[in-house]
Amino acid sequence: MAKPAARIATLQVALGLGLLVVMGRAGWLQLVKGREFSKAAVSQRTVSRELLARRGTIFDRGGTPLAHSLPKFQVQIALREVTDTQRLIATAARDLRIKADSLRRSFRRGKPLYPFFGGPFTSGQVEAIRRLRGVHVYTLYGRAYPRDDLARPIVGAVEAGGLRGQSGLERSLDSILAGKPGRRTDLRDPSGKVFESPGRVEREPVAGNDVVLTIDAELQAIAERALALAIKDAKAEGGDVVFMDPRNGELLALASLTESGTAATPSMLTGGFQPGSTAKPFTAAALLALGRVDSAETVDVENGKWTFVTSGTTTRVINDDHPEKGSITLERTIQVSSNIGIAKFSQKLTPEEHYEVLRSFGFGAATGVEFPSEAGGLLPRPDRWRAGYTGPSLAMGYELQITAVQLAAAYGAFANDGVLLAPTLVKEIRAPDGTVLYRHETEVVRRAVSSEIAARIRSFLAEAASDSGTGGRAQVRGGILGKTGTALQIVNGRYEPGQYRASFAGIYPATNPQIVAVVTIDRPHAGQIYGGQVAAPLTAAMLRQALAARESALDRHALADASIEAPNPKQPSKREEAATVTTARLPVTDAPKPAGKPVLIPDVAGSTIRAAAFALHQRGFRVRIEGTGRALRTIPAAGDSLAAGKTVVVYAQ
Amino acid sequence: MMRVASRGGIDRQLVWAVLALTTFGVLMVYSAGQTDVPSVARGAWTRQLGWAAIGIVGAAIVFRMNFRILEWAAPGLYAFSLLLLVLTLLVGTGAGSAASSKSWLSIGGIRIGQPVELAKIATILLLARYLSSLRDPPTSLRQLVTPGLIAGVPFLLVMRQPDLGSAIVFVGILFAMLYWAGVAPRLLLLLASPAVSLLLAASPSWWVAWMLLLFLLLVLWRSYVAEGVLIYVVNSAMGVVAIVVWNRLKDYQRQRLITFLNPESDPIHAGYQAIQSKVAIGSGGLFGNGFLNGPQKRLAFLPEQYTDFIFAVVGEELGFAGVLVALALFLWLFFTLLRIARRATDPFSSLVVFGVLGLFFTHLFENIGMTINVMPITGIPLPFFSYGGSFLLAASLSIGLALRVAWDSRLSGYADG
Repeated sequence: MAKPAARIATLQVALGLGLLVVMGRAGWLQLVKGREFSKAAVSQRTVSRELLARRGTIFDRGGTPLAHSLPKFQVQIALREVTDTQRLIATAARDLRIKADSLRRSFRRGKPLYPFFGGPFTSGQVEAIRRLRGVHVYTLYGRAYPRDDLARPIVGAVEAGGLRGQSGLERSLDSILAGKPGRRTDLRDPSGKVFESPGRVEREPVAGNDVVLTIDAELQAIAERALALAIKDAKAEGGDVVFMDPRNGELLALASLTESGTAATPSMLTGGFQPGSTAKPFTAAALLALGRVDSAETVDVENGKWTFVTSGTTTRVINDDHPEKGSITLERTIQVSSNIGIAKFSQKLTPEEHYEVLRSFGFGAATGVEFPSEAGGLLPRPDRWRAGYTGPSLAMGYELQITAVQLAAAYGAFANDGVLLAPTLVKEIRAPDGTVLYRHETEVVRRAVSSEIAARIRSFLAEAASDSGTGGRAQVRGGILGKTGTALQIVNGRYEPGQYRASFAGIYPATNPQIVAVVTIDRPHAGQIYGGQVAAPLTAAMLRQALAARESALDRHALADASIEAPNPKQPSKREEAATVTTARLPVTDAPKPAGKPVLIPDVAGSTIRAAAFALHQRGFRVRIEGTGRALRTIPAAGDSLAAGKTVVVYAQ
Repeated sequence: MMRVASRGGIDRQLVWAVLALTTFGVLMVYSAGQTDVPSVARGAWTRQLGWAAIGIVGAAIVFRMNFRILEWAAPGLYAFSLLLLVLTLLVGTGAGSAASSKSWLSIGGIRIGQPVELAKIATILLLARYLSSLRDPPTSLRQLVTPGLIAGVPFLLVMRQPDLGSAIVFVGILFAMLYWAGVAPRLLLLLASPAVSLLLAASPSWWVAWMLLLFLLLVLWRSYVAEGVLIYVVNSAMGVVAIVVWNRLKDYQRQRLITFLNPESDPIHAGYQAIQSKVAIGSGGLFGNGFLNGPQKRLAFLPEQYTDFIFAVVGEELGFAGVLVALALFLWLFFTLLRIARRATDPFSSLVVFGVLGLFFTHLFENIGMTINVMPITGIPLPFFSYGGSFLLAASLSIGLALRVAWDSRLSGYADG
């Protein structure tokens, strides 16, 4: 059946064109748009999930966790995937305490298809059920503060979700604690079912680093308890306590409470106050350092009321609450805390000289401690001083704002032979595997005064804290040096009669000082308002408790060496403890060598609690266990050495 | 050029083309079963191989058959297939993704086949018989009434199932065979005009433009007045009927039309298949993700991956290169069939072979067209690729017919000029 050639050609062209259309379209999809569709396909069939990283633990200096992240679990059941319904229901009822009836109803109705149980459940609770088909377990990390509110204003808080620091050290150390979340991509099918097997972990989560604080939980607890009691007794509105080790600048306790007894904002770091008489020794130090006053020089203290001309016709009156008669030396001025005395002496200093010394003790500048929103305080520059006002006021502790930590650091300079050290809160940072990433080393800010002058001031402070000084009630065995302060508070821009801040700054013990204590009580109202009446006895009370504590921040051995009070030979156990308890209970390069023989800590990670405890006991350690299951790590870490008889904390999950 | 075929020679080109396509197809069915999500397609390739074997036997039987017997039996076969189609409407069942339509005939709960595949062949045979009996090719619409009816009855019966995709194949066959029989293209255009009018009715401005163009064409071609008026009236009516038809369409049919025009309008349901097919093919790029390794297929994002959308597997796993190979094989098949039709010893044989070509081409264009989103989703198999016994058998029988025609023409020493 022959056809006209044109018709055949037309047909061939038509066939070719038809296929060409198809080819062109396929080429368009595959070659031109191919990349786009590949991307679309990949995004369709993959689910990318973040793998949470465990946040690091915040420990006190002795290894007690103050904040840690515990995994908690949530359970979701995919009804369609479940193979053993009865067993699932039974296990859920037993371990998760989910009512069997409600689950059974879900299975019968097929609704909801994916029942979700937020829990949170512990690892023990989900251990059995997570092995059943159709059960999906999600891990979250919850932030827990095992010592309740201990040092909470310092430790701070995390945001909801437990991953980001919100305040306090949790915030300032967030980059150290947070770790890095991981990411994995899994294949999924159109129904959303995820195929774990070919899942790729692009990035393993990296747990955050642990931070060991300089805070001593024991001392912190003592401070918080004692401060709460003192606030109550004094009918005060609040108060701060700072304990610092003057030898290395480590802050041992930072307590801040309000009258309601709740933890307040960490005002010892973030709030400023006018220190009053506790600032007098700094002016005295300036006078001595510049040789403006010798030990015999006296000033007339005007029987407690001194009126003087400041400029032109204006006059100013300075009073002493406890007037002295005649003329007194600088030493006596500090001892009895004479306003008139220090005001008169301060006139021997130029504003520049006066300012320079106060600056060199660290006032008017933030200390740089690892805390967010630390206040720097206020110290007026000499060119803004008002003649006849600012100089005497600064000498008396007015017209400047300081923080309690600044004051502690400044007193630390007296204790530390005139060298000002930077206060710190972070003793050590450890990687999750226990490697020490950072260890605090004493950081010298500057020499504030010579060691001779520091010794002179210490002798002044010894007098001031003696029975004949204002701070006599601060005395503890071992001897304390210190200065009281009672400052009028400013309310609405003027000094308000009856509103005081009573304070005491002390150095303990008198020889080889181990602790600087700063105590301030805000607005005591129970009749006793003076630093010597309120703050000094509180300091003494806390130090006594610290000495009596089982694990003390104080080196009682050193106290015994000072022969102030011999240890009771009838209590050998206590003696032994005194021999081993040191300020630094973790091996630190600059710490005094522990008296006990150092023993290497074995690696117990992965072994059972029982085996770990056995291994540690064998080497003569005490063991404290946190958590259950298998041992994860120890504090101090494996490979470190520690005196036998000391406590090793085992963390387990 | 004179070319004398060896006596009794089998048309090797056709055999190779079909074998190549079938092998390619079975491999793809095998690949379609390799998924990460359990799929019914897993063992399909073995059954497909079985059907291929049956197909070869069937083709051999048809090959042995005398064409005069076929010519004689055409009306009976046609009547029988219509009967089956009617039966299907009465007692048919659905299957797979087309569960709501009645396209399967089953006995005692066992599906034994889709009668539409037989009807396609029967229609080709009867059309060939009718058109070859005419002394001159039809020149008026009136003369097209009979062939129109021959294709139209099964078309309507299949539409009732409803299976739009298969129904359209009858239209494809009709137009291909009319053209091959010598009907003037303009007449075919006039015949198709009501359908064009129906489609364009969706847009009033396009429809008006079409009606103007049609008027001009009628005047220009100087057709019979009565015919011209009839065509014009029917076209006008279609504009109205379109609305009615639209309202009568089943929801899913309407949805398919809408989603064809804009698949992203309903990405979850109706547009899902279109989008997934497009994404799978597109992500294949130039060389694809590798045989068996198409991830969209493996994770069951690709719907009906072993039947209607098997071409998407080709695109995803073998890329544009694989698509070109498949299309080249089809082109080879079509040109071979065209050659056989040209060299056929008698008009009936020639028309039968050309009808088969029309059948395959319609299937190919509809199926691949829908996988690459240039045709609506209609659910129609790709010859030699899609899994399915009835259609593979029907295709094999068709090839058997073509082989016979080629055999006969070689026997007669056909020489092409």
